[in-house]
Amino acid sequence: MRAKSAKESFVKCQLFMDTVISIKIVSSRTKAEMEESMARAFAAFYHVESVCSRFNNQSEISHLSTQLNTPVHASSTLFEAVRFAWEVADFTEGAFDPTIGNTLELYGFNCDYLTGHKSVPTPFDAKSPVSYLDIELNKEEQTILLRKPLTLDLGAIAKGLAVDLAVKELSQFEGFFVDAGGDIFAGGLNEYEEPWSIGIQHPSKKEEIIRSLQLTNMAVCTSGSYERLSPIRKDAHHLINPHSRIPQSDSLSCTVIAPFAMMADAFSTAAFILGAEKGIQQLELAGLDGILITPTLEMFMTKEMRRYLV
Amino acid sequence: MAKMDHKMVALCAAAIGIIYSAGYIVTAPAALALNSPPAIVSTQKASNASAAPADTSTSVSSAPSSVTAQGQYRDGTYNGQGSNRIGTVEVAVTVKQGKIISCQVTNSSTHYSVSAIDPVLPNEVVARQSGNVDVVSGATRSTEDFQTAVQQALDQAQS
Repeated sequence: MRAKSAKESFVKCQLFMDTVISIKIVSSRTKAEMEESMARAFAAFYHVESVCSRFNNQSEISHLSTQLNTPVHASSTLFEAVRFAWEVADFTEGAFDPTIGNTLELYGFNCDYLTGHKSVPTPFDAKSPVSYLDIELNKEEQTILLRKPLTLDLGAIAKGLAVDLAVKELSQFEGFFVDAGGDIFAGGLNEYEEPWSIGIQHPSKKEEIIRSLQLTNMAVCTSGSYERLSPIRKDAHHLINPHSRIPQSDSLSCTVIAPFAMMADAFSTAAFILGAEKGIQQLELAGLDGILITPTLEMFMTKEMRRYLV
Repeated sequence: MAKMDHKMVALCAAAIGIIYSAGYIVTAPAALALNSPPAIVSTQKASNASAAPADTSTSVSSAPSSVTAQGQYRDGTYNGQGSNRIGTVEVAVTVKQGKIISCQVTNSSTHYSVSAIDPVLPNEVVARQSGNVDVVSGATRSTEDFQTAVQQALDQAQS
């Protein structure tokens, strides 16, 4: 057991992006200061969700998805998010692909989690598959053009993006973490003045952790097939291979450590889709560390991963 | 391949930097003083915000709070409670200009932690058989455990 906490800390939870966002601040500063920064940090989630959610037909991304062959001017948030998603798609040769939205809709991932309202499915020609190459970005004009009818899904980076923005609001404190339902950034030191210790959830025993990590000023994100199941197709989950359009079953979970949560978020999804061998290769290529767990609970990790293991 | 790592990290850093410095409207402070004007995060003006269709808001239809279109939520903060397989949860849902702007977890006997001043560790950590970890990374947990509570709060917002 640890000794009694040396420093005060403050924790709050709110629901955004269909998950529970917890923020913890460790600081000797006043509670009012912590509350103010925390409110700004939560506002980052509200902002990113209102721009990037395909479940809300009022969102900027939903509007974009209705425009075909027209350059649409995008806010900085949407433009940069789509641009980063495009780059990751290109880097991973489409293992990660932000045009996966239609496929996700077909699997029944189309409900607003707060209101239960279903998003209107976009017209989609199943015979003509889409990919990130159907997105045209114009950096000078800050416009996005969709060459085919498609539904953009930024679900694999939006949480990470919001975490990274929240971090900017919190980095003034001695220690903090932002936990977006398992996608985490841990900054500074914890209340015991140690680096943060982060458990990796056991993919088949919900109440246990399978490994612990110790780190500071890094993001840790896990993609796993054990939490979000298709409401209409038995045994199907949300981590779908963009090429075959069927859920990937060679991995149970993939945890990635990166300097930014948006990177960890994107690459945990990509490596999960690629499976153990190629996934780990891809992480090394991107200069990241991670652990991939297979259905037999075999673990594959990058060469440098051990330095984080406790 | 060392150049490639730099490329992805640099791209990510640039994207976050641009978005942050473009600024965004804060309408959801946790304390939620409902009448306070929106503040702008960061030093620059949120010049792009008006370009977002999301911001062309629904304020017209929600002006007099007694009259609401079907499916429209009245402004205010509503509490909801629900039970699930693990225990009881309470949420406070805040609606502003007809839109849900925040949903705070005010009480939870599940493994989700709630607002608290230490020395109480988040219950989550205690519940896991793992002992000394601060936080757990896993596949994104859904808000299923909170659905009844949120629905109860939204029912009040509609009635």
